[in-house]
Amino acid sequence: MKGIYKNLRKDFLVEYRNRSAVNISFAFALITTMSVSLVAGGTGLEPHIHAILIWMIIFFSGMNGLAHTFIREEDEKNALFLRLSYQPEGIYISKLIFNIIFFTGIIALICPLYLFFLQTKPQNPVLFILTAFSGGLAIASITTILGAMVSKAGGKGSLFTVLSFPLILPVMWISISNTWIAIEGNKVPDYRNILFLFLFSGVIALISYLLFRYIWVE
Amino acid sequence: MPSEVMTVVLVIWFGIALFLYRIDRKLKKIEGEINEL
Amino acid sequence: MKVHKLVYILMPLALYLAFMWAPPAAILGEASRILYFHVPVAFVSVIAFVTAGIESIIIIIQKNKNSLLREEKAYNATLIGLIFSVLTLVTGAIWANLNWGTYWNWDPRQTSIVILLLIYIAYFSLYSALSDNENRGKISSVYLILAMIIMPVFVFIIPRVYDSLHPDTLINADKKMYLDPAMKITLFVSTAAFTLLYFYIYNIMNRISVIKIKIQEKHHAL
Repeated sequence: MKGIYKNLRKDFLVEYRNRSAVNISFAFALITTMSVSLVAGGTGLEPHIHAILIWMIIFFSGMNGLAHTFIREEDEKNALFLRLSYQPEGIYISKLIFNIIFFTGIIALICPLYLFFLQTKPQNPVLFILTAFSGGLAIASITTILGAMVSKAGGKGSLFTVLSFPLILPVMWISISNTWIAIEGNKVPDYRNILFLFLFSGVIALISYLLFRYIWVE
Repeated sequence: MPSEVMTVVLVIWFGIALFLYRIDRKLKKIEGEINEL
Repeated sequence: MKVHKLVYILMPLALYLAFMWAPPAAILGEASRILYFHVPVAFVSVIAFVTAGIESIIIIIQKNKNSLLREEKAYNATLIGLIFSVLTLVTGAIWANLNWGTYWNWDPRQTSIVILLLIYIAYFSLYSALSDNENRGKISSVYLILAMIIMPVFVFIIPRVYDSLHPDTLINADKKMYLDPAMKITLFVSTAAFTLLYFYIYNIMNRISVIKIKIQEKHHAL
């Protein structure tokens, strides 16, 4: 089984070689962050607004790229090959890990840039980083399993947004409020939210792992 | 006040109940016919 | 099988009790009567979504191909759940207006019901997008199972964690606090009536599905 995971990590190299989707997401993240900072750089925005803006940028950058993990497979007809060669569970794990790494990368790009360009310093950096990571993890878990479902349904872009929005919204809600607290620093941080997001990601990943083969195998 | 609202709701309920009852009867008929086919 | 037909007797009884027999609540007054609709309707939508989830689990466990009827049953249950969720939202908004002046204020509980609604609306988008996929049943079952697991988070957990204007829900609250016996009985009868209504509608929709499937099979046989 571990050998399969290693094999699937080679999957990454394939993704890496043809990285148009990844590039688009990073470019989007960059452009949006710069645009926002151009427009709003001078004015002193409330911490609440900063939190909302950061997560909006993260969300849309993610939406661009996260669905592609599976949709690309169907497009490039790799899906059949994957299905024949590897265990479904292994495929799921590799896609999940890819999405996590990819999305964490996006967040790691957006957050420092945003904070730098808008001259905002979070009063509670630890909380900020934890929130960004836990929120990103949750979003990655959700989008992986939903991306798999959407890829089976023809992969139209709007379907993925429709499916993922209701599940991502509460994650965003929690992440934004935590980020707000992290930037403003006035309220006592409630680390239960972070714990909740981690648990949430875990539950989704677990269920997805157990049920993935029913989506994948025909 | 409550009695007026109750009357309205009762009327709505009678509409729903009648609707359901008619569907129920029609379904019974169809189920009988399909089994004979 | 025929138990749910009792709804014809039980529902008018529940309505009478709710409006005429039960006393108005201490502070809320006559407006409290909406409780006898809001609670049962919310209860039914949870039951409906759990039904959909259970049918989906059975579809997954029973690997044999012919899960067509169960897919339809899960679909029907979800549809009923969706309708009753909308009713929950509406009755909740009416209550909010009667008690606090506005229909909507992004209260955590109101918002989480909207999210639940969106989750299940998304199911129908997925279902129709998969219309030419043979594996539609299994894929949509996975979605319903995921939704069923997440649903308690929205219905039970979030409103507890975040302060909400919503009164304590039945599972948690001490019923003895503001529900006197007459109200408890009315609430019980009303919940029973709506639950029976749910099973009755579910039964009818399933019978229609059975007929639809039988007709399709006859066509294929020809």
